[in-house]
Amino acid sequence: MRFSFVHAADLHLDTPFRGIGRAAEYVSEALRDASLEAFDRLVELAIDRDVAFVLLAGDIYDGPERGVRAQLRFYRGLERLNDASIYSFVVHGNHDPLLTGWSAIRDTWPDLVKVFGHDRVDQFVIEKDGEPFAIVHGISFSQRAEMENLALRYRRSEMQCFQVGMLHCNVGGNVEHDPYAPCTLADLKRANLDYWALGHIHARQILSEGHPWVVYPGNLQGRGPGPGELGEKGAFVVEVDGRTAHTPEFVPLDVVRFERLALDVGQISDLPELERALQDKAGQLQGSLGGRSMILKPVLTGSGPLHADLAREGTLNGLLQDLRDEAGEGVPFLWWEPIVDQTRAALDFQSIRRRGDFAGELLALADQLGTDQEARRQFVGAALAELQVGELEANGVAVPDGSDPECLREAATAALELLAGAE
Amino acid sequence: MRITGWHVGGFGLLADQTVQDLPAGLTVVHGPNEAGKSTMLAFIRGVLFGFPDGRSSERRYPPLRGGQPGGRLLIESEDGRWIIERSGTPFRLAISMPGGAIGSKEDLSGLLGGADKELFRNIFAFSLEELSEFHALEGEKVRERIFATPVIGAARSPSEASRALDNQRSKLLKPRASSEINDLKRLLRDTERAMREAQRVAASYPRAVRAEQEAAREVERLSRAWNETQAEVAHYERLSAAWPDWSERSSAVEELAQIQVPDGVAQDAAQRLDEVLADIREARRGLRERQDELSGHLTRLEKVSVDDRLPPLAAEAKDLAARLSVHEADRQRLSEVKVALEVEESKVHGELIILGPSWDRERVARLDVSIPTADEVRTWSGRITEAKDRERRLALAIDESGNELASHANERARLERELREFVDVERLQVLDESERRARRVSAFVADRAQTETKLEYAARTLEDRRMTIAALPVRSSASGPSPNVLLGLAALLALFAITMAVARQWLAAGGLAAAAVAIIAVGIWGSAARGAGPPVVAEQPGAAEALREAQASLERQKAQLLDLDAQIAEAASDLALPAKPSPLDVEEALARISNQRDTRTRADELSRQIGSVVAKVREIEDRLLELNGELGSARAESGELVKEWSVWRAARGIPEPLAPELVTDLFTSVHRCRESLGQLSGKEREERELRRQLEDFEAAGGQVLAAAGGELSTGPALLTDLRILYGRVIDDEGARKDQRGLEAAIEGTKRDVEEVEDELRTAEARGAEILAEAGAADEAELRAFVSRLVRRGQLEEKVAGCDRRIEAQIGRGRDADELRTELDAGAVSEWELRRQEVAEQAESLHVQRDEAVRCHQDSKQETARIGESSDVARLETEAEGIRQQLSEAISRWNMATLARSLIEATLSRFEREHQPKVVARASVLFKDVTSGRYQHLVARDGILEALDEHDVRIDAGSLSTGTVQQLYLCMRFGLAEEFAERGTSLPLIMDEVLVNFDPERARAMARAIVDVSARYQVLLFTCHPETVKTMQEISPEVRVIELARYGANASKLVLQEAVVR
Repeated sequence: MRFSFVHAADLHLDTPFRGIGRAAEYVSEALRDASLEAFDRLVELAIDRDVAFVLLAGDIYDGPERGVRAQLRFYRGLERLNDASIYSFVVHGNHDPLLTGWSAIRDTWPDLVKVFGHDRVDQFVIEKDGEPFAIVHGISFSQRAEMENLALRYRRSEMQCFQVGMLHCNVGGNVEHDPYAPCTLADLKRANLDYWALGHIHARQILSEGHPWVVYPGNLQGRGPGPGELGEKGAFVVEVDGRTAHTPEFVPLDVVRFERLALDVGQISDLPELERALQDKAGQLQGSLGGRSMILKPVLTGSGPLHADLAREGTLNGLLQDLRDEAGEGVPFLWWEPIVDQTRAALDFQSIRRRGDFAGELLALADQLGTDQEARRQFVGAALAELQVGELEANGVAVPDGSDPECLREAATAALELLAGAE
Repeated sequence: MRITGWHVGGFGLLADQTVQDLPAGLTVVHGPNEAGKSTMLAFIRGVLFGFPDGRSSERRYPPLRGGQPGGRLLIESEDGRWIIERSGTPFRLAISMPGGAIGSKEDLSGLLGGADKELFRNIFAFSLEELSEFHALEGEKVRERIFATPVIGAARSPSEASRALDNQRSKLLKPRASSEINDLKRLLRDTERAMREAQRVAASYPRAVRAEQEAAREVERLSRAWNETQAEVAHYERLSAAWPDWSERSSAVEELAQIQVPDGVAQDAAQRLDEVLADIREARRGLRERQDELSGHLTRLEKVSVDDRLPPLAAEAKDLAARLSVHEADRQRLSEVKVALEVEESKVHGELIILGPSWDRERVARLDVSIPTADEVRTWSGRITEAKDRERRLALAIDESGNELASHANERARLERELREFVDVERLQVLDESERRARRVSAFVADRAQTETKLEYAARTLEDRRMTIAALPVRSSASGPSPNVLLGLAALLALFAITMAVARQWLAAGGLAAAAVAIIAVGIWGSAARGAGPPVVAEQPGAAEALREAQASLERQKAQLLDLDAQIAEAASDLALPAKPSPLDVEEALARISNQRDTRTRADELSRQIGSVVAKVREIEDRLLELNGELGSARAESGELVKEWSVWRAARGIPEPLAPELVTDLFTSVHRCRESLGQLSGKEREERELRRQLEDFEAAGGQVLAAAGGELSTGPALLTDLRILYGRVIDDEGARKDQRGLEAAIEGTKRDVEEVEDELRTAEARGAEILAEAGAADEAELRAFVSRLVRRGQLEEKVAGCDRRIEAQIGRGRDADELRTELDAGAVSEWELRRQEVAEQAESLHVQRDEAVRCHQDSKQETARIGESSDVARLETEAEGIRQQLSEAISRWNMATLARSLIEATLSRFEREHQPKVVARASVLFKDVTSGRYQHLVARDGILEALDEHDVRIDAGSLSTGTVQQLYLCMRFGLAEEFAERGTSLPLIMDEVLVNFDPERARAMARAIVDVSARYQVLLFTCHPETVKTMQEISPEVRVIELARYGANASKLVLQEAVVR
């Protein structure tokens, strides 16, 4: 039998976008609704493609305190799928574990919606005209920090039909994500299913192509300028013929696209040229957006004559404001995030080390601290004691680790640039 | 570097002061008070680092004794000689570097080793007061200048960098004050608080749902209660509403029971009786009207009168009446016709007079003036006219030809007269021949001129060749050209030279003259040579051959010339020219011939014209002859034609001698006369007819009037009588018509009366029948019966109506029955009372229910608001944005803090590692100066201490003034050495630094100064001679410069050498 299904995960409905500075009102407004509109697009896709079922592999909401708006929007979406005779299968993940938080929905899901429980792997048989054609296996997180290898609980049913496993997990120990429900590819293959519909990793990837397909669709809407949140976001549509799934077709569904724009300023002579270069690159990115809005984080690297200009107070802000003014406020919009200046003055560190003067001594001190972890820890601890890191971390602020050798190296470079008059 | 001299333009007390050749090592500048020593110190500082301006609190030294403000220093460095000048208003810096290049501030800074004014003042150039300022030693620049140097160039000192980082840090984070991180933290707290509130509100969604449901249930309960009370109120209202009907019904029923009506009484009996009575009344009324009408008709009929005589005459009378107008018109017309007759007769008479006495009406009528005849007349006219025209044309042509002939004759005479003036003109052929000859002569002349030129050339050639031969060794020979030939040639050349001179060709003239002279000379020489014996040409065959050839050529030219002369003479004689005509003669001859040619041409032309005129005259004469012939013929034809016309005319009785044109006019007149005659006849006929008609009418009219009993009349009276008669006829007809109408109406009215009487009888019978049916004796009784019957019906109707209304109000069924029972009881007041009570309850419940509905709406809105609220997401996003900003700010703060810490740590390290050297140096010096009283100096934690001989630490601040000055001086020396090691080697300039020292220590310090001066330049300013003496004692080679009081001095100071002892 031929049918198709949609595989999505990590909806993070009503997610608070991270890594973005305070944006203009129209940007905030667009972001507020982005995750919900992306979900609406997912529902439309499923209805337009007349799929048999939709798989939502965890992290439907962004936190255990599930906002009412997100829950109601989710419910209405599943209701529409139900009205279109499309099944919906849901497993919960670390951001929306079953036993944490509260639900406004209670037990009033539409008939064709199946939310998998947390105590065991359930199986749901899908039939057409009395003939089963697919089985969906799934289990949800009960708590946020699910450390069990839940993949080991999955087993293929004896029924001869296409069998899908849904699991929110971390395959292969991806360090960029929490190590919840850790498992390996071998663990997944051992279950002998036809398709693994995974969730948790936001970067889209296919770990195995056939026998079985092991697929992370990535999240539905990028949540910030972090590495796993950039580029196209959406879901997979999978065509199945009997027990064979064809190559999943990726369909972008995101409403706002996050991108990073790295630019080496080495060959750029002045700020107008820099601005033009940034705008040109942004224009190239905009061409592939398909009418979407974009939030762009520019990162300037390299060393050149511009470094001193960029280091002056107000230059980056002024450039940022000009870029934003030029981009305007139309929809779709282009929103420039604060510019990250990673440029450096052209300092000859080896020469400085040889000089033996104050700068050389400073650099020697930094080198020494760079190799002596304890000394560095004490040095940094004394220097940063004023900061009250605990209070900040308690408020969820990501406090950079000052004792990181790279941080100390950058501080030494900044000191030398200051002394050299390059800043 | 060291200062080798200076020039002060104008600075305080100093003016125009120059010092040169300052040596390295120690120089003592000695001068009393107000000699300008301190001024000199300030001058040196100012030139090197800048003079204070108006914004500085430092003392300024305006030139008190004139001169250009400022001055210059002469400096010697490793690279060479520098000149640093600051002068002018405002001060302008000018730097001359070694080699004469113009230097910049950066160059000066490099020369000064990166030192600034403060450092120079604190370490190198200080006064007594500044000596005591220890904090100067603690200054950051001193510290950093001691322990650090700029990283790259002189951009920023570590202290400046540290301060800049502190500035960044304080902007980012400031304890208990507003800063970026604190502000963000506060904002984050507020946002999280709002978010928690939003989350709390969101979490209250289920509660909100329950509240909404509860409110809905309350609304339902109150609605139910209210409905019940409303029902009860309605119950009592129904009773009250039904009670009037019920009461009324009861009365009706009671009355109904009392009414008695006989059976046969129909309800409509009264109505029918009324209808019958109405019919009776109507019939009686109609009868009366008919009868009145009948009597009226009869009355009118009696009044109608007619005349029996008139009907037979009516038609004719009407006809005559109708013809009255016509008759009047005829009478009028007759008058007009009579007048017209007179006019026509007059016209005819006039026409006949025009035609002539022989013309009468008969003749006019008889004459054939038909169209064919008229056409014939016109044809005759045309023919005759044409013939006459031809005659005239011919005559005109003959006249014109005659004129033309005369004109040509005149022209011929004129041409012949002109031709007679050209006499003795040669013919053209002769002239052509003459011209040809003249041109031959011209050609000959030209050839001759050319031949002459060739002859001259041949002569020159001959001479040249002779001269060539002459140049050879010659022997006498009898050969050679004759002197005559040479002479001729020379003459010819001279002639050409003259010609050239005339033509102002001086060069050619000169050449030719020279050649002529040369030829003469050659001839003379040749003659002389021949005189000595015939010259013999040297044996040279080529030259002789050439000579012979030249001679032959010359002879040829001569012969040709002679030939040409002969030809010219012959040709010229034919033309009456001189034998040797000049080109001008020839030209004149040609011109003459040309003139003759023109004259000949003109004469020929005249002859040709005369011939042409003659031919023309002949032609005209021939034409004239022909025309005359034609004219004769035309006249004959014309005469014949006239004759034929006359014959024709006579045959038709047309009077003679009318020409065709006049006949046409005659015909026209005859036509007019005929027309008039026709008019006249017509009028006469009309007159007759009119008379007849008038007479007939009058006859008929008279007959009719007579028949009608009237008198006979005529004329207008007849017309009047006829009109009257017509009126009588019309009236009589009208009366008769009325009479007939009335008779018909009377018959109709009589029939109507009969009908109405029948109707009356019928209605009366119906009325009696109705009374009999109802058993009533009379109408009144019947009405009474009917009235009762009606009343009974009304009551029954009322009862039925009450029943309907009651049913409509209370319905049917058991409830209605119960209501009826209650109605029957009739407790109206109780019902009202109870109704009021229940109504009040309903009102209260209504208010409660409204409140419950409002609460329900509110809770629904609250539920929806929570469900749709994006506050949580918004605030979460906002909080994340703040956290991101915080993280970035913290990162920047970390960076600034760590960088600053690195700088401070490095500074401390430098202090720890390098400071001891300075202190050690100072310690040695101090020990010497204090003669061992203090063994060491220690610097710790920024405090300087001295260790005495017992190792007791004494804070420097506790030492005596002199001792501390000594200590500070030693420290400065140590620092100066340290700076020098690091590349900042500047002269030490000290102003009165030894005054507070006792002689022993002063001497010891002097030794130290001398010792330092062995390595660095030292300028010591003092006003004390003993200091000078001490210095000289310790270092006899010390240089001393004397300054006079007030700074006055010669333009150049004299460097006083120390007296060497």
